Amino acid sequence: MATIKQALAASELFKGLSDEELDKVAALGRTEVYEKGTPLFVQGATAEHFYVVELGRVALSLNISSGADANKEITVEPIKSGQSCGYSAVKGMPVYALSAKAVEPVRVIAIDGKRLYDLLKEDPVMGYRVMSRMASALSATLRNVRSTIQIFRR
Amino acid sequence: MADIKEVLAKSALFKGLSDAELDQVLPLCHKKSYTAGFSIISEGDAAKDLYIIAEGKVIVEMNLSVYPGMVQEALIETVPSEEPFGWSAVVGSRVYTMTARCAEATKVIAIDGEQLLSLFNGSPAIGFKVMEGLVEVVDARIKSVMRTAFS
Repeated sequence: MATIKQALAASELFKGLSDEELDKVAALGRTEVYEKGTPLFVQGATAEHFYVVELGRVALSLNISSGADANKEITVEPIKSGQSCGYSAVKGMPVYALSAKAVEPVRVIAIDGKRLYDLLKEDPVMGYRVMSRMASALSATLRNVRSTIQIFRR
Repeated sequence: MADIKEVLAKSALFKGLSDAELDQVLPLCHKKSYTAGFSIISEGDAAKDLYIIAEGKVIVEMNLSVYPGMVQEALIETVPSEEPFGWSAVVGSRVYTMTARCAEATKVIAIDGEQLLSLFNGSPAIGFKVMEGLVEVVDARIKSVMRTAFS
């Protein structure tokens, strides 16, 4: 099994960081394992942790809370090994925008969002690099949410 | 149209910048005015500028592949004053993923993406603040798109 640092070094968000920078991020992470079908987080729940998928596949989905389709869950995008989810926790947004569920057994690095944010803020070189990648990944998710909703409503 | 610095200072992306940091962004900005119905950016075009709405409203639309070979344009949302659009100029593939059309007479601040990225590389503290503003904007937009769609 790879160490937390190795898993972070292989991830889209943290690749290219220096050894020292990776050490700082790795110190905030812990390995968690989820069985198939288990939620990592649920839409609307307090956003505390941010996740880097080390092994396996996670589905990001939106839950319809009202109207004729209430309680339906629609998959927005797959999060694969090396990708991340739960960005709401990093920027201090109060709740998760979407839900994330393991679609097969997965191993993730769970990182306390607030502590990661503080680390990025105190080191702007690393902070800019990582936050820019987060903005890019989240923008892709927004596009997927928009198209998923449009297709669902047709 | 309000002063560019004043608009930036109130905008979701640049509100965290100090006075001195805002002064570094100003030379990269241009005011532009458009009539109702004009498409400021088009999906698929090279993303050159990032935009902040100073006055007016912009509708963003995207093309959807409904069936193989059949593409339809779908109205997605309205972007109000002080909000950004066209951020593909600074993140991702640098190709606009949406079309943005003026819902009414609209004034914007256009910011050169390449120059803004150079500023971020030279002053990562500015880059960090703008990118965290962008994460916040995109997260809020995901939530509002879902609220609007299913309310």
